[in-house]
Amino acid sequence: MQAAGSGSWHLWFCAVRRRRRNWPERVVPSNLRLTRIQGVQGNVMRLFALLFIAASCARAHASPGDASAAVSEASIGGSSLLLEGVGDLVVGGGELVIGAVKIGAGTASVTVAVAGSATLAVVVVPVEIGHALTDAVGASIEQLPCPGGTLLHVDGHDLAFVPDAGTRSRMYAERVQ
Amino acid sequence: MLGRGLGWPWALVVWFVLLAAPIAHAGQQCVDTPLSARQLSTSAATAERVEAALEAADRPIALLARVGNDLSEHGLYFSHAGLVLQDHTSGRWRVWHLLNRCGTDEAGLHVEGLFDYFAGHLTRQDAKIVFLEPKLEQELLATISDGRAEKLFQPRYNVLARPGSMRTQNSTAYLLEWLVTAEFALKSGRRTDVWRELASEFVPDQIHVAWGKRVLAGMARQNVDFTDHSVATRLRGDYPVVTVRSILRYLQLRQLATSSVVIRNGRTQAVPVAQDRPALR
Repeated sequence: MQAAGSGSWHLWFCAVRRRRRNWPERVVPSNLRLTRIQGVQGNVMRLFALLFIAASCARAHASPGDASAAVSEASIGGSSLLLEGVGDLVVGGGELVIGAVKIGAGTASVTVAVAGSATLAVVVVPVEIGHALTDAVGASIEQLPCPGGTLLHVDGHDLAFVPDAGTRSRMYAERVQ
Repeated sequence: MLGRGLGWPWALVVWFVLLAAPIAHAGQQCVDTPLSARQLSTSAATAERVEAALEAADRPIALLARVGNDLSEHGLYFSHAGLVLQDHTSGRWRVWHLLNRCGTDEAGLHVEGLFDYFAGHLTRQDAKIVFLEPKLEQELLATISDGRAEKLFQPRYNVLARPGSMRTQNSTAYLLEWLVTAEFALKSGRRTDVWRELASEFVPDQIHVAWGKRVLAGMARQNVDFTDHSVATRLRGDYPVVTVRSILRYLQLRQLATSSVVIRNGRTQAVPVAQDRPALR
């Protein structure tokens, strides 16, 4: 029974996949979906569309070959990692303060300023931390030693990680092909 | 939206959404949220320990595995691996590995520092280093300098790539093909030659994917291509796949590895080469 069911389902989702492969980028083409639904009568197709939407919401699942470029490309790049400018001043013992907090969709940008200097750096943090720090502009940032560098800590929140020289030497990313 | 009198379809929808829930939450990859400062510090610590273990072993190249996804439901621990070697110019350790571009069926060949390799939303900050036979080490280095390592790369990614498939490849299949190219000193750099050598010796793991997940993954994920496998396999739902565990088994069987260590909870401990799940606490 499962075999028969799998076969018919398989034919159906193969057709869906073929269509998806032809779509540009990863955008779900809502107009295409509507066209299909209107073109084929019945609620069954609407149901399929709903199932498709539900399935589209499903993100990565356990898979035998973990390998995701977005993890290293996006996470480090958009993370609470300070390297240039302020990082050097942390090493030199400069005093840091919260310069500004800008709340975005899902993340917040926190400007870290060096007291008595024009040096600034922006750290991307989860939006919850951003909300918590909106009243902390001007507050002094604590610098706590941690494995691989220094944690910038303010108002009970870890704001950023400043890698030390050893960690910096282990930072590298290149796409060969 | 569906109108009245459609109770059963709604029930189906709810069922599918519930079915999708574990799929959505099981993975640790393809996460858009930035890494926290603590996560980065933990990654830095792992990278430092791995580097210390590599320096202590004083070998030019080794296999380095990590725990990206939680594969415990398949009885697997390490989910991804690459080869780590010392860069000639900088003297730093770099990891060569194949990565899938999130949400697509594209793969890329990447070289990363140890920090970058562990700075992700990984399930665990554990690592396994497998040190290889000197002859294999030298040949692996040769495959990089003469371009065979790149020639083995297939840009079309399939997380469930069938062992021996020329159409698709995943990170572990790429690594195995690279190791075998070096083992047999295959000069062509052709994947077909690799699998000709592998046919009799390599035993892949079987990954069971339940019917519901097959349907959802088939619809929603471009990096899963079940059609790479035979109809019989698809009907069964048990997919042969190159896993880190099967690579470790192969290295052991062919006596291609000399020793291995696992780094877990801040400790480094020697473990059997073929052991996938570390016993360290």
